[in-house]
Amino acid sequence: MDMLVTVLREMLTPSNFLIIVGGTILGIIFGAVPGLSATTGIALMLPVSFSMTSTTGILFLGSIYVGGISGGLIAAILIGVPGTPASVATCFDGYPMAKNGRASRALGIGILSSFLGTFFSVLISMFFCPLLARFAVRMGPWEIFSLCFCAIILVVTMSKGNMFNGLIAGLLGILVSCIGIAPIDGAKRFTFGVVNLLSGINQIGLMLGVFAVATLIKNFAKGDTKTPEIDTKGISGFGISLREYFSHWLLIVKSFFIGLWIGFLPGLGAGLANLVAYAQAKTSSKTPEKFGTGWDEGIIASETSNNAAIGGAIIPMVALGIPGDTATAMLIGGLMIHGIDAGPLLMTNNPELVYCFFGVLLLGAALVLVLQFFGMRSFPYILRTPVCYLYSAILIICVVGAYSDSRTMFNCWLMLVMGVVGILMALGNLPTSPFILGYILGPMLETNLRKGMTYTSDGFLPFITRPVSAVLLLVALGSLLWPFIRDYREARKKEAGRESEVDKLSQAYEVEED
Amino acid sequence: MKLNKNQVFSVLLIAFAGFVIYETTQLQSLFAPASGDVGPRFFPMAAAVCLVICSIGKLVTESKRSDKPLFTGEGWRRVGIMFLLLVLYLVAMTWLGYLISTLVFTPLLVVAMKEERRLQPIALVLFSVATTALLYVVFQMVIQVSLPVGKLFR
Repeated sequence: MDMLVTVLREMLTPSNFLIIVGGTILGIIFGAVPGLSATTGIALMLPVSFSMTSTTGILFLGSIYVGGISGGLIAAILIGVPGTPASVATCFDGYPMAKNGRASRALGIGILSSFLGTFFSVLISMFFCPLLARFAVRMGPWEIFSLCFCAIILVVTMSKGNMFNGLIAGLLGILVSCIGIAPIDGAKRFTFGVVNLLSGINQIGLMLGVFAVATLIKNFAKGDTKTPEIDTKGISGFGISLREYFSHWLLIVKSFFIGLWIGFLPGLGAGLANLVAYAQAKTSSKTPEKFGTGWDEGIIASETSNNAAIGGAIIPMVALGIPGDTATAMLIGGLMIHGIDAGPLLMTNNPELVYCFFGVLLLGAALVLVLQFFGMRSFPYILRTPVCYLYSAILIICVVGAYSDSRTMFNCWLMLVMGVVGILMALGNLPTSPFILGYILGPMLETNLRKGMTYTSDGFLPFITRPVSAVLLLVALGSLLWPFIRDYREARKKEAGRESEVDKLSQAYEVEED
Repeated sequence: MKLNKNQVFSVLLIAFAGFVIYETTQLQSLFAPASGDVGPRFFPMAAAVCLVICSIGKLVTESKRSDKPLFTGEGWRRVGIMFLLLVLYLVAMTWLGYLISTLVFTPLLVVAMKEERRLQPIALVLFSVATTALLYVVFQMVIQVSLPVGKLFR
């Protein structure tokens, strides 16, 4: 009860409330513009959040996160381009519906489903996190090491594409995190006499470089910067009554739980959840032939599930301090900038902060509902913003943001170098999410490995003799086999002409994962 | 034997990992190691060795895949222009300070990315002044970061 009062007091302070509203609007804009995402928004605003208190900072970043995930539906419905992988399936029915002159109805259904997905999944994770965190407190360095190891490996093996590319990206992230002063004994590593590298590769410089500069330049080089044509006719009101909407309650509940579960598993996020929920809705529908023509159920399934994945994804982040995807890795990074230790003690040591985070996700979901409802008419203008102006402003913000963190030009140069690294990684087909996870989890891995070795005289042995640690390591190693099994099974299915619905759907759009 | 893009990339990764391994062997610990501690070399060494193994894995598994280019020639030209502008911007900021360099480079970035769009000079000027001023107010006044004044004016 005391906690509730504290959280409400923090969130409803006029200045904090304004920051939350501003963050939500920013998030919606970043989610809406194709090519940008919640991740870019969070990276760009990290330097700004640095000047805030830790609580205000997490309120700000949390609101951008919620706005960004939900904003993806706008581009999906109005121009048929998924702004993020999370809203691929929203295009299937949202865009045809908008083209038929029922854009309001499509947006209305999307906005309502978004709200339900986020709000209730966060409530559920609020219930589960303390239970899991209670267990997390009992973990020693052996378990924490194995948990971080397992998280990185699972993110790599569960996502699509060549496993080796994911592993290489993760290892590069780990190696980058080794630059600077080593944990435990303070040895200098890979600094090459550069004083600015002693404190390690600056987090803001790295994130801005890889997730903003490289992303923008890649979009521009691919020519994904044309201003879209949008039909603005028929955008007003929700276009669907609540009663009509809730007549689909069974589908809403089903899609919700699919999203929640897939979001919880590391490596599988909203990007897969929306496809699985859509495929499930289609196969269990009495009128599957209407899917893809502008059918309510398609939008409901996609938007409920991708937002429900938020609640699932924050469970490992909050309860164990282990990020499961890029956006949560950035949020953890934001906390670390404020000097807060990520890891299993996050919830025990900083309960106020954690509950403020839950609070802002719930408030953010409600704000997104209100802002999107009243701001529906402004969506076409957001999408029509000339990219040359938008990208220029973002690049300038990146430079100023990188400078402001350490107040040295060195950090700006570092950001550019990281931008080049981002482009090179794309050239070698290396995904960025294992890279950022490796960078964030690297120091945790090393510290706990070395602590574990010194706590007993048995060397590596406790890592495999302690049951929880052993199980986690086994899961990690076992999952390394999964991509081979998956490829084999997919090849067999293809031969037999029995491709699953999700496989077929996922080929419809090639959207880059963050 | 002609190597494709992915294979060249894998070979370069292996070379990079080799460099990391060499650098790791040169590391010195400041203190005598605590009992059982593996020291500062172990972790980067293990990561670099795994990098070699995974790069070989990539080399073998991706050899047969189609070599789809990331960008077209025009795309690479755009990448070059953008990085060149950003490098010049940083150099300008170091010498001339935030205000002058941003006023000059904001419109240059817009023009570089305009594609077929026709820009109105007035809008371009207004946008540049507004962006420069807004960021100045937010960072210099609200967040209180003293933005660079430039070596020439110091």
